[in-house]
Amino acid sequence: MLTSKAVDSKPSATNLALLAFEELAELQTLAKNLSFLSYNAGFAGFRAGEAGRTVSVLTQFTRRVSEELQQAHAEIQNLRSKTYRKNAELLVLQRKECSFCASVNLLAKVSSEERGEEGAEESPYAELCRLAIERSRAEIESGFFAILGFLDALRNCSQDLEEVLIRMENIATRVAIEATGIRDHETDFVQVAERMRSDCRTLQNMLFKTKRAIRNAQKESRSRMTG
Amino acid sequence: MKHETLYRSAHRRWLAFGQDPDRPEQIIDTNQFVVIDGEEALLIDPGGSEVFPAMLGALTGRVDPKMIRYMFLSHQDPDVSSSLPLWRSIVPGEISIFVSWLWTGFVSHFDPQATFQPIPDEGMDLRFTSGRSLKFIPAHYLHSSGNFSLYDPEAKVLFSGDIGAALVPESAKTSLFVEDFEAHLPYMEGFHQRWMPSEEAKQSWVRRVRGLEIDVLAPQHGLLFKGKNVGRFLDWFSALKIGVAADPTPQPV
Repeated sequence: MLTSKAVDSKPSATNLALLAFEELAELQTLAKNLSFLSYNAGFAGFRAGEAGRTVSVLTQFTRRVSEELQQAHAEIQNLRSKTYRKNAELLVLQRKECSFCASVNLLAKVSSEERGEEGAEESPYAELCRLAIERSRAEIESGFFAILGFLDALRNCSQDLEEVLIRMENIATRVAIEATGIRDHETDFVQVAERMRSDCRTLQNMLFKTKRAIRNAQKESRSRMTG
Repeated sequence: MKHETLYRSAHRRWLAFGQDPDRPEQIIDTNQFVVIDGEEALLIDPGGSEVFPAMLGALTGRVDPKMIRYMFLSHQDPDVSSSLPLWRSIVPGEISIFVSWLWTGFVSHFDPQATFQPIPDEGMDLRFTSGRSLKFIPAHYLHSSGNFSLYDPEAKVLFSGDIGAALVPESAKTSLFVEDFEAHLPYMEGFHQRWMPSEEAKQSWVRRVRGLEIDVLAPQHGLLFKGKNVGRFLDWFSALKIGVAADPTPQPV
């Protein structure tokens, strides 16, 4: 019995790839939060006068980080869109492969029923269907390679985001240090530092889940291709 | 899947296929036809992708895949042509696909790589390499707005698409042909009243078809008409009030 490779692989590698992109879906929200936070920190620095000058400078770095997150979000959205499209193309190809497999099986059944098991003459359509299956599978493999490429690009984006995360953590630490020297406005700056640290933890968590999802998807894709 | 030879001569054959017993229940039953002229074959309304495996099984031993050179789609519906990319994937050579010009861009959604021979509204001939031909007869609005029947003047077979179609219960499928015309009427009436919207188009088609010699009238769904039942069907269809099965102005819920 000829079975479709597509039907055999559950959960499908392509679905896992899509999940990897979903882990970073909240990146834009995080970038916006950070942007608001930088403005609020800027106002707090302004209210603190000379004592808040260092914090005011730090808020400019925070805005830059927010912009980098926005850019990363746009890049990831583009990759996500390409992955969804490729996934849809694969679904169509897999549907075709299933039809050809069903045809080969039915033709084998018809041949054996009509002519007996011994010396059953094969339908000429069976060979044509097998060739079509080979072509479909080649296209499917090529689609999987494309998705692996998108996953690699996502992994590179994640690595860039890890560097952004380190800078965010440094800024949060600097703001917290500055807060200890500004008695009158300490609460404002401590709140800014805490919220930044919270955003850092959110990003860290997102990146951790994304890396894990990428690993799972790549593992599944490779086993799907060699299976 | 049942099959029947509708016509046979030294150089021409008409084959009918339908009533697939393994068809999933929710899928409407369809008839598929093949015309063989010399070394070339034409697939008529080859069916949806669900029917494809069963059709290959039915064609095996009857139609060499290398002969399939032409395809005719009477209209754009998925039960007519969603198998198109599957056929194009297995047929060794190029296929000329005839369909109303109105639908080429739409049917391309099934198969963007397919190239079509658009049929103009007034119809045209399909000419085989032998020089012998078949005629595409306009059947617009019956039911599709770009719709054709196909007539073979030699075999005297008219493929009528959805005209003459019927939703026949399994228990009444004792043959591919209508055996008791009166008993068959209830299976056709609702179908034509709901799917056929234009009285003018209907009368025009009936007038045109009455001028043809027809031994077999072969619809895409249900049973085929032969002999006197062809004339009976044309009389019944001509008199039937159509476009009336649904209230065009339903009350809001």
